[in-house]
Parts: sequence; C-alpha cells; structure tokens
Amino acid sequence: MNDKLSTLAACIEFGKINKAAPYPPQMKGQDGADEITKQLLDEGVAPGDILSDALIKGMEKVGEKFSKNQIFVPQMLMSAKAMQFAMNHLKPFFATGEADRRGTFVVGTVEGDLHDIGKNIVAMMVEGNGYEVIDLGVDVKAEQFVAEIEKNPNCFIGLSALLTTTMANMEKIVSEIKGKYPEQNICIGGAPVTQDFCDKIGADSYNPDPQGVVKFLNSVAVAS
Amino acid sequence: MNSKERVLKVLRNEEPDRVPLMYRDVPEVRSRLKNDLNLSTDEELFQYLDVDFRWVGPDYVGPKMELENGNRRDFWGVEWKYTKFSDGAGYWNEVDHPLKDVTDPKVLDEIQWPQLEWWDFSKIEEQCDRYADYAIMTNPGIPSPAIFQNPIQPLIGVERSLMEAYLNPEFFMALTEKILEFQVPFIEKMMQAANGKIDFFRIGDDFGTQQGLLMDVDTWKGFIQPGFKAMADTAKKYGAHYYQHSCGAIRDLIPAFIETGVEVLDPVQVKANGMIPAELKAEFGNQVCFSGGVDEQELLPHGTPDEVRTGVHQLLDDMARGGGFIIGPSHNFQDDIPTENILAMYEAAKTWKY
Repeated sequence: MNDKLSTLAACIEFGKINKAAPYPPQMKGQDGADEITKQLLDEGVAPGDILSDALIKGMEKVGEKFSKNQIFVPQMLMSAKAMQFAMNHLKPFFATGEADRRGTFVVGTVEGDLHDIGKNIVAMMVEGNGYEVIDLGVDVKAEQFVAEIEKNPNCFIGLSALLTTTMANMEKIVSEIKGKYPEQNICIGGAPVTQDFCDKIGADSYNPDPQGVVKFLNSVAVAS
Repeated sequence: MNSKERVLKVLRNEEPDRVPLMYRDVPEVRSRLKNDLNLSTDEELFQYLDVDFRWVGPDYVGPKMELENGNRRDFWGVEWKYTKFSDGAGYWNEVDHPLKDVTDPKVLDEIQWPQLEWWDFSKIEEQCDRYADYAIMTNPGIPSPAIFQNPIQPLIGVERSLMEAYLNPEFFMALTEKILEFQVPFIEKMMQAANGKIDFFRIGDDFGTQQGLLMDVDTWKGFIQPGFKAMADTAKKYGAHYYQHSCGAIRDLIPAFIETGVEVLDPVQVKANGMIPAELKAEFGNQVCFSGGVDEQELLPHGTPDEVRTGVHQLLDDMARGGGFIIGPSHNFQDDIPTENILAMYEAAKTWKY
C-alpha cells in the first residue's frame, strides 16, 4: 500500500491537521492531513481509496481508543478536524459520484435542547467513517426529520439529547417518524439516554459512544 | 448541634447527629416547591427541608446586563438567550462567542475585562451573620468561579476551548491569566469582606462526560490546576474550605483534585462511568469529603418516592459512615423531578442513622 496512505491514516489517528498545527508534538513540522490528501490526489490515487484506506482506517482507531478512554474529547476533535481538512479535498469527487458513500446519516439535537458537542462528535465520526452527514443542528423538530426522510428515503436518523427534560421530546420524535416510516433506522444518544429508554420509545439503537453508532450503521448498511 | 457544626464535623471525618443536607435547584423548581408547600421565601423553604447550607456573595452593581432584544450580556461580554424546553422551563444559552476569532494573546490586552467596582461587597458579612448557624458557601455564579466552563467556553466556543490547550497553548494560558487577574482579587475582596465567616469557597467547573474525562489528567494539571490552586489558596487564607464541583465521570481526576487542595468534591454523578459510591468512599474517603450523590438521571425524575427513599438509604450506607459525606442532588434539581421525590429524598436522609 502507498506509504502516504498510511501516513495519512496516522494523521487522522493522532489529530495532525496540517503542517502548521503543533499537535501532536511528535509530528510537529511534518505535513498533516490537509497537505497529504492533496498530494495523494495529485499523484492520482482514487478518492475512494483515500477515504477507505486512510481516513476511515484512522478514524476507526480514534473511535476504538475513545471508547476505551485512552484518548479524550480534545484528541477526538482534533482527529475530526484533520478529517474535515482531508474531506474538503475529497468532497468535489463525491459530489460527481466518483466515490461512493456508505449511506446518509441525518442527525440533530432534539426539540428544546441546544446542546451540540456530543451530537457534533458523533456527526464527525460518522462522516469520518464514510457516510454523508446531514446535520440539522439543535432544537430540531419531528417534521424537520420527516422532511429529510422524504428527500433521502434510505437515510439513518440520529437523535441527541443532553437533558432528562428533553428526552421526552426524543420519544415524541421517534413516534412521529416511526408512525410514518416504521422501517426507518433511528439511533439515539446523549448523557441521560439508556438502552432501557431506547427500548421503551422504540428506537433502533442506543450507544454510549460514537464508535457504537458507527458499528450500528455499518451493520445495517452492509445488511441492506 | 447546629448546621454549621454538623457540616464541619463530617469534614473532619466524624459522625454528627444526622447526615448534612445540601440543596441545589433551577429557578422553576424553587418556585414550584414554594408554591406546593405554601411557603413564601427561599429561607422558609430551606428551613422546611432542613438544608444545612446558606449562600452569600456580593451584589452586582455594574453595567446593565439586560439587552433590548430580551437577551442578556454578562460581564465577560457574552450574550445569552433564554430558550424554553417545555411550557414552564428553559435555560440560557450563549448566542455567540466574542473571542472565537481571536488567536493572538496581545489582543486580550485591549479587551474590557470585568472590574471589581461592578460588585458591592459591603453586605456580605451581614449575610454571614444572619446565617451564623449554617454552613456558609459562596453563591453560585462568579462568587463560585470557574475557568474552563466559564468564561473560556462561552468566550471562544466549546469545541475550540477543548482543543486550544493543544493547538494554541500560549493563547489558552494568556486567556487564563486574564481571567485570574480579575477572579483572584475578586475572591480576595469577597473573603476580606466576609471577615473569615465564609466556610466554603466553591469552584464550579466541569471536566467529565458521561463516559470519561474531558481532557487527560496531564493537560488538566498543566492548564487548569495552577489557576484553581491560586483561587483556592486565596480563599483558604481567610479560613474557607475548598469545595470543588465537577459533573461527569471524573474518577481519574480525583487524585489531582486532592493534590490541588480540594476538601469537598461535588456532585458525585453516580450514573457516570466509574462513579460508584462505595468504591469512591473506599478509595478516597480518607482524603476528601464527597457531597451530592442522589441520582438525577434516573432515580429522582423517574423513580417513585419509595424508590427514592431506598436509593437514599443505600447511598448513605455506602458513603456516609465515618463522616466525609454531605447528601444532595447530583445536579441542580430539574423541573422533571416531582415535588414528592424531593421531599422523600430529604425525609429519608434525615431518618437514616449512622
């Protein structure tokens, strides 16, 4: 495999955004995800290979280390940022259909709740694992999710809530979506959310960390 | 035995007549409780529940915070908007992060930082005297300051604040220094004004998620610990005990907190990863007093009053023997907690025996 692809995977794993970024200290002064992605494209490496052989590989390691508490939110954010810089080079090719995505993930923090850090991290991780992400932001109502499903019938839905007081809105949104689209896959998450709550409201998947969301999406995307 | 003696006794790892009671809430709960219990003042409510703490602090007399659009601009220059999440309740969220594009430490010299003159410290001692029988703690807000959660996160944004110590450490340190240039003299003045009568100086910051720490321990020690120590040491000169708050799964940070001089650690978010009461007591009970612990993610909002009573007794069995524990909610009481559960929690705590 191209050495540069492995280097790019390492940039994602360790959060090396670009040459100017001082983090991580052991990669200081070296090219980062930004530069290396561009070099790979210039060398003619296929965008789909860059995504699957470098970016997704790096991001998988990030997710594993995060779920084991070996790295923390800052490292994950820097990896996600490195990923975004790489994706900025790749996005034009995805738009022209030259590289396939695994699926579409529509995500938002539920009505009444404005907390978005957890939702953002999940969105970045899911995107980093090869999905198109449509981020509806915070305070998102059921009809906004329904409108997205009408545009993207096979999309996965992700709902986030930080507050016990807004978890009730999660239940409402799941019931409205499932009422119209019983087969639509809905993941829920956020600090107070539990598997019991997920079972109770009829959502399809609860995960305590972003890697769990990725695993769930991958399992369904492969099956379908 | 009065409330102050009761609280100070558990701090010395001794057992008083009953476990000390802490109280924290959101405003909607305070009004509802007073209404449900037919009480008119906060003091009546605290007496009704037998809360062992009272809170004091200076009055804000600085530039007006209310804006014409209904939002508020705080003394750090951050604008906040009130958003409802249900018919009766809501909370304030920042509209923008005024320093989000500032990366040069020099720019921080040109900013209007809060001034001590914006607070009136003259009535603090009088407040302390009024509550002389109670354990006296600094008010929520700036009398119980933070560094990271407030003001760094509102000033530069949450995501940037989490990465800043790694990507622009000089700026993070310079910003922290500016914050402390205001906060340390503020604490000094508040403590002086109280004339040694404040028992607990509280730092109200957050370093945990549901699953783990917000940053690794070494980064915390490099970037946060020195500021906390400077603030706490200032308060300690005046005889105050150092009471530290942090939500979340912060077990791995507890040794660093103890090293910083923390004497009470709040709120023991028991549903967070690794925050198991009996284990915390066994591992750290001789070094730090814990405060809080009544679960607010499941038990208080969704349990029955009987379940609350059982949960409270279990928690006290695990944490309270030998002193070193103050019972309270694991967060501010939220509006989804029924009044009867709050009452059950305090009743159960008062009937539990050491």
